[in-house]
Amino acid sequence: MKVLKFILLFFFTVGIFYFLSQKIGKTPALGYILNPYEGFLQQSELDRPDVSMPKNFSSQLKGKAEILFDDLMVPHIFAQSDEDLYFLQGYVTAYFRLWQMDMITRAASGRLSEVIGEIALKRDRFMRRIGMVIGAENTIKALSQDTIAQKVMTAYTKGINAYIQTLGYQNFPIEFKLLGYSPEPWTPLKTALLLKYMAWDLSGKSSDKELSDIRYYLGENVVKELFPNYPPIMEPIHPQNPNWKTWKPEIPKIPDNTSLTSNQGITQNFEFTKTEKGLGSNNFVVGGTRTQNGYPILANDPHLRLSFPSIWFQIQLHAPNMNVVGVSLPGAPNVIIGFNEHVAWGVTNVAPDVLDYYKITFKDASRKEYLYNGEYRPITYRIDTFYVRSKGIVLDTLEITHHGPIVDSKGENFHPECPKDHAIRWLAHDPSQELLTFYYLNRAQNLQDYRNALKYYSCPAQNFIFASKNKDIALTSNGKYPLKWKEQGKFTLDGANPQHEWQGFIPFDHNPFTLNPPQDYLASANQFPVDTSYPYYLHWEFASFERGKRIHDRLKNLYNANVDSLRLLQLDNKNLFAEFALPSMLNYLDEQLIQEKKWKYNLERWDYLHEPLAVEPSLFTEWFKRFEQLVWDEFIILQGKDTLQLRYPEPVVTVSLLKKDAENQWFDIKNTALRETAGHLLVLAWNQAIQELQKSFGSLERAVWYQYRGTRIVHLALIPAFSSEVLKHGGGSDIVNALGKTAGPSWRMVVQLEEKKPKGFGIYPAGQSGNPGSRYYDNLLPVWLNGNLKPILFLENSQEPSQNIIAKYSF
Amino acid sequence: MNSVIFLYYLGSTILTLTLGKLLNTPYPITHWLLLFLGVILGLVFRTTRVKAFFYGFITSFIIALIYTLMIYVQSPLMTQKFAKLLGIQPTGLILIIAILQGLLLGLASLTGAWLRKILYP
Repeated sequence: MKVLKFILLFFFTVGIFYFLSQKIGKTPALGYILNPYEGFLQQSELDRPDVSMPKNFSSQLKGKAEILFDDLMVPHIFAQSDEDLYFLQGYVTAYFRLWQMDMITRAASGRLSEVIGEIALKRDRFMRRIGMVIGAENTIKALSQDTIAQKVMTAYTKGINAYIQTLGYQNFPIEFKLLGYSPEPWTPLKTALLLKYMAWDLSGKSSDKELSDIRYYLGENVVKELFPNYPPIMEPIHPQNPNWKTWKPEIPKIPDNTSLTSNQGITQNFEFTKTEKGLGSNNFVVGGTRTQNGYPILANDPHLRLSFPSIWFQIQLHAPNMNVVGVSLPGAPNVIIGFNEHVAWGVTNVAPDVLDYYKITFKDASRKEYLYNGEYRPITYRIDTFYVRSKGIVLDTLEITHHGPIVDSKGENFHPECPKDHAIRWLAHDPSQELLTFYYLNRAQNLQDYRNALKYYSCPAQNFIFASKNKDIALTSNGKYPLKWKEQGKFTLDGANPQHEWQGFIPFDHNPFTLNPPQDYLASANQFPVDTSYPYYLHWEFASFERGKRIHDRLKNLYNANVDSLRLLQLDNKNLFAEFALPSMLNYLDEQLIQEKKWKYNLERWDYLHEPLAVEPSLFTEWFKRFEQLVWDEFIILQGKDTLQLRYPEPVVTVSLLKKDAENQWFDIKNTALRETAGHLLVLAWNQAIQELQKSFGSLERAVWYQYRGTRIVHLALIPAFSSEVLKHGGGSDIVNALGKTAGPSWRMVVQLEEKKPKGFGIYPAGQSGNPGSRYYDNLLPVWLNGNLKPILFLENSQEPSQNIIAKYSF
Repeated sequence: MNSVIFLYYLGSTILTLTLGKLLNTPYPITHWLLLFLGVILGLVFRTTRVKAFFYGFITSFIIALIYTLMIYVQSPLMTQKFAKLLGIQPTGLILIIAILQGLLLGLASLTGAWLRKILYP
């Protein structure tokens, strides 16, 4: 009996230990995570940096090197060779951001299900099916042909792996412990995947299916009327260039038949949602004639998804013939946005149409051959393997055409923009060497170096803004642009017709470029790069006019500028769309029929500023949203029990219609006997908006803008305890201070060029460390919220005295 | 309570945990080291089973409590965030950690003591 009791106790004890070592569902292994000697407590970080260096560290370097940390925990790396420099960049970046690097590259390569299980499988399959890995593999092949790129990638990879080798379970970033997996060795492919993930974020948008659906259900004329190729209001990035008329480009001829009837049927419940509208980035530069010290000042604030850890990692890199500071992408070498002793640069997204869907006509149900140019071509296959946690291996067969892979072969509703049985042609699949652009930009000394660096850049196209201490200012809307006929790719294309293929690329020298313009300032805010006089077709839609116009309006009158002038412009909260729309909307609002009349008077007196504690922005936004829904009731297609929500025209088109003809037939609600006008709809929308705000906030007075918008910075693993509270900050979509619900100014930088050394200022809404247990995890957020910038420490050499340096490591 | 036995428990537990921390393997080992340590301590020392559990519990509880408090005082951020994640106060989390560690070593010691009872009745 005693033995039996012992056996029971033994199994009970071992069972308890075993049970506590298992991850059950979303709950991590409690025995490990709550173990104070190895679990979460080990990520409690003291104030000072404690960068652990392996014993054989110096032997991995070619020469002497130093890393200095300033009081914001920004590393300043001094090395005697490029190899050592990028080795140390890899090491230090991994030290602070390893889990983030791992997670993003897993997301890019469709490997999330390996760590979070079946819930991520469909997402993973989509990422593989759009060809992320194919594109990354092609990029690696292209980079391996360049000795410099290969050297940089190899050194950077070695640095990351040197850090990973130092890790035991105790030092694993907390997210590895919570999710219950270990870091794996880094490879150059992961760096390429990270760049492709950025390319997807910035160039993966496609209107092909949406516009084809509208054409199918509502007709060609509706597309022409409501989705024009150039908007009613626009101030393009580049002024007209007389050279455009002298070029003799070979623009492809528009084929006879471009009107594919490509109704995809009604689909809903997509795995992915579309990206938030109205966001983008700003950059602007003012020339020496407009500044206090006579040298240019450059500013940049890329609006990307805000997250913990931040997408950016600030760093200074110093090697022979190079000294650069700015922000890098964790997982990729070099500085992406920043400055050196001679030049400064920044980027915003161009977003030309570099992704098209081609309808594939199969020979028969076996789907082994597809039609092209009157002949049948064989489909090739790629079998993708997914190691799904707690489930095992799942195989997925990808059908590939010469256009690219067929993303959705079975009507699986991956993404609202992705049609069934269409092959994807995406520029990011092509071999490219973007890494070299940043390698050379980091070393640029003048305009010529900047232009040469840009030749290596392909995708996602960026508006590279530039300033030098030689007082040059320039802007290039740069990338590879497919040579297209007008509207090619506005709708889905015919995969069987060779004329529907891209016919080459626009030559680099013909990319939109402006140098030292007469007005002595330049700016971009994702709007149309050029007007209709530019001879090539880039896309039918870019960002709306508001941010671009507001920046131009303010820069036109800006003289005697200093760093603060540009900082304040980055924080501009004026909503130009409200200024455009509101007077007309209020004009048609019959106050005898509306609730809460006093708010009509408040709106009439509103200064159009999206201040955090104002109620008017919430009311205007909700009111316009409801108005749009009522106007575009025809854009909801019902088929049986299914509903298809077609994409609405741009808000500026809606308001232009209101201004032009308030009794236009679009304002009539289909399902009522009454013939409604815009006035009816505005009253109805107003009352709906009032009721909604009262319901959500208790009273209108409490519906303040920052609460209505509800922006939080969320941890990448969606852990609430590691995320921020709702941000009390102004701005909004399509406003210069473009803080939306999930994205916003991810890095604000202003650089004053000077004869000797530029002065830089920057901030991002997080901190250098990816560790939630570090005070450097979110220490920059309050500064960012207040609209302030921090000086960017830019050392000439490692011996330069600075009170900001708090730690120094020599090797 | 026999203070000699308690000191043995305390000393060997600190040594074992130090060993685990020094090794710092990619796999979390101190959790399992507590099991082996507890069984061995229960086997070696001639006490009742109740006392074996008690010695194991109190030893591991005290060490974990002091260690956790030391970290919390020096750098409270992670404890605060983890407590928020679990929906409890940081002090509650510290207590849970200490009790869990106490229970684990106590249970292991009890198993060891029981085995001793069978091997040396």
